[in-house]
Amino acid sequence: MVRQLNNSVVTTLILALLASCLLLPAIAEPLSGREAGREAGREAGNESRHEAGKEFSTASPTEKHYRLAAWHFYLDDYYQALLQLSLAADEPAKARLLQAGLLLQLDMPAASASLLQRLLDDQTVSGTLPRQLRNIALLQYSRLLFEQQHGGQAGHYLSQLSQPLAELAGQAELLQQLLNWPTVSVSDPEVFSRLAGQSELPYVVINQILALRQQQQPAQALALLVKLRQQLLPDTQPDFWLQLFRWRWSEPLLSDSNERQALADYLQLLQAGLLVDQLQWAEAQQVLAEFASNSVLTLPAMTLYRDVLTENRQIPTLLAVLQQLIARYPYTAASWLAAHQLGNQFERALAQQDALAAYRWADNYYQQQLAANSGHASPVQLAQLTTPATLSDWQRYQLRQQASLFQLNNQLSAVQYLQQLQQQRLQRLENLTEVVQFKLAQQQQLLTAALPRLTAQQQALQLQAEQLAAEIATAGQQPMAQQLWRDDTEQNFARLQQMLGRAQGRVEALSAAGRDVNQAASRLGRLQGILQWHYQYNRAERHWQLAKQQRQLTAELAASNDALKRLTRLDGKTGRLLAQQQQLARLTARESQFEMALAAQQQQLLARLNSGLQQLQLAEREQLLELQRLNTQAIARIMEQVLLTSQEGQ
Amino acid sequence: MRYLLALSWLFSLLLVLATPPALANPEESAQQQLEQLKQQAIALNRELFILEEELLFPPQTQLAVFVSVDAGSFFQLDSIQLTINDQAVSAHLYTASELAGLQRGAIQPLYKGNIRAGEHSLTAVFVGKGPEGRDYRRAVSHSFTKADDAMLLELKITDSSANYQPDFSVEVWSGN
Repeated sequence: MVRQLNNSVVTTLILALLASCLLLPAIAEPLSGREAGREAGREAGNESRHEAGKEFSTASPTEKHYRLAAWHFYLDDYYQALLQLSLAADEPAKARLLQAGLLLQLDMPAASASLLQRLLDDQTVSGTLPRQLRNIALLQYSRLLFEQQHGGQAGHYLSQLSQPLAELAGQAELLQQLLNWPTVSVSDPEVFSRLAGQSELPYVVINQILALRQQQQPAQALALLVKLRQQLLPDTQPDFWLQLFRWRWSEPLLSDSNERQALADYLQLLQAGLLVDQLQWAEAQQVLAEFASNSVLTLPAMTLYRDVLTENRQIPTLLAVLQQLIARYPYTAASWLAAHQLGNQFERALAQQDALAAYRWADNYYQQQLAANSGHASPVQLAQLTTPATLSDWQRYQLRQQASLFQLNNQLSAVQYLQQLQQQRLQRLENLTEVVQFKLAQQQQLLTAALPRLTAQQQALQLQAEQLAAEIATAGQQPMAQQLWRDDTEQNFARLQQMLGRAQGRVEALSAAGRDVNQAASRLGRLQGILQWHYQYNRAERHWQLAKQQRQLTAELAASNDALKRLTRLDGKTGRLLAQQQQLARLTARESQFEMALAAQQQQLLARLNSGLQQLQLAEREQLLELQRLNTQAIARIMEQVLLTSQEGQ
Repeated sequence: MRYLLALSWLFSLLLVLATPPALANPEESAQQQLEQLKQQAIALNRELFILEEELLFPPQTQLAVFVSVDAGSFFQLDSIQLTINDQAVSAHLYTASELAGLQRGAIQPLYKGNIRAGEHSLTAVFVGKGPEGRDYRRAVSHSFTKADDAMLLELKITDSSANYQPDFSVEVWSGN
């Protein structure tokens, strides 16, 4: 049963989400690779974008967080993208879906599944999703359930997909096959047209071929395989006229040439297997003889080739294949077995001397392998995992080949990445602690020294302003208060007023002395009248100017008062700063706990990795010893035969 | 007959050898533990970020500048230089992946800093390739008043279909 990588679904999920929510014409350009490059996908994306436009206005805060999260996603910074999403005040369905995709990118399937389940089970929320996005959510959640071996539930959610599925049809069908395996529909001539252009088509068809093989119908399986291989042929450059009239031609089935090559190799191997099923050994040999020597499937192909050659009694070729196996795959059981099989083939050909020599060579080979096996016992250190060049060839090979070890190695890498992130957070925490301490010291200085002085100054100013206002008010009550005369001209009048006052005094004194001062008094009265007129004439403007200056003074005093109040309120901010300081301390403590948990997890994973490697090493040792024993028996057998032959000859 | 027996024995041995020994590994629990650690990392990251914002960029002084590209058919961005009150504060040279992200609708957080309350001016110089691949350099200025709320500005690069030229503008984000 062939299963595609889950990663492509995840990326499709996120890219489709982003495409659906970002109102950009540029999104209409083909997305790279298999994720979203097809026309159907673009159409669906455009439709979703239109729908998304109704939900997010271009300036809504949610959309901003969404697009900021997208920035971090495109830069592969998934933690930061998640952080950005979590800062949005509201959580619309699309944001949750994006969050689920990001969690999957961080290899957190359980968290992602939980989020998707909540989203899908809440109809009021999931109902707001555009149809195709809801389909993506359903598909992904079904896939996660399937991975967790909850086939029934996976089928339940998968059945909720809404038609038309467009570019999701292939993924849905593939998942359906996985859920129904081995009951797969094999009489499906429409599959090529139904899933035309979709990258899942070869996987769906291969599953059908495998089902046919399981039902022992190799002829039908071969026919289907040939049809599929034709579709996988590399896109050769058409000549000019063909290119000229090339219109609406189907694109190559898979745009990724590596994937296409791997699939072609797989199909070639499968074809050989089907031919063997039909006992067509010669044809199988021909197919395998043309198998690529640099494919990831070369080892199983060579193994099958060896068996086919054995069946076909093609001894020289078989010996060459066995030698190649030994040379190219030193850490595989097939290679060790090949060492013994060399002698075995000579023995079958009754070439006893050659067989004996080959078995002896194999014995020597097993001794070397056993010695090398003992060298594999040294445990892997953490530092070696960060620099794989320091690992032994055997360790590197096993970490690449054994699924469980590969996963453990990935998990260790994830822990190391978490440790790096944590170091960065610790550095930031340290900086923040310094900032808080600085701010606290600054405020302390301000509150203890500067604030009382400033408050006293402000209060004195306030008092002076009040006294001034009272004086002005009192002066305003007097007929011609001298202090209220304004500019230079008026000040001149004020001096005249003073002189007039003094003259008035002398007139009164002279009058008291019995002198005749009537004329002077009359002239003084006229002068007084003139000054009075001037005073009254400018009174309105004088009052307005005074009122304005008083208002300005009051405003300035109020502003300084407010500033002082703000400074006084820093007392409250000090409390806030102290609270933040405590929060920082708590966070630092949690980081320490987290660090310990990470270290414990790392040690646990490393122990498992080493334990796995050790088990492998011991198992391989057992296998080598068994083969050596078998080989020794063969040597004894051949020597006995040689002895008997020589005795008969004598 | 003997050879056939030996061959069948060898094939069965091969099958046994080809199957790697099952490793005793409670993988699921390890995966779960790791996932919990990742959840913790996400929570710690969020808490620290919020605290950092409060302490380092309080709204009273915060100025943040973002960049977005809408369409971008007439202009391919190479770099942006940002000055505030004639002081260079940020410059960014774009990579291909960053440009692809912008063109797919992402918003880049270009700058975050602190400024006093009052009048300020911001100038952004965009450098890149304009229509027909010609070198293109354009500046956009924006004056603003910083008050108690955080000031968030978006530098927008759009296509002007009227004159087939790129258009550069500054948008103030409201409702922050």
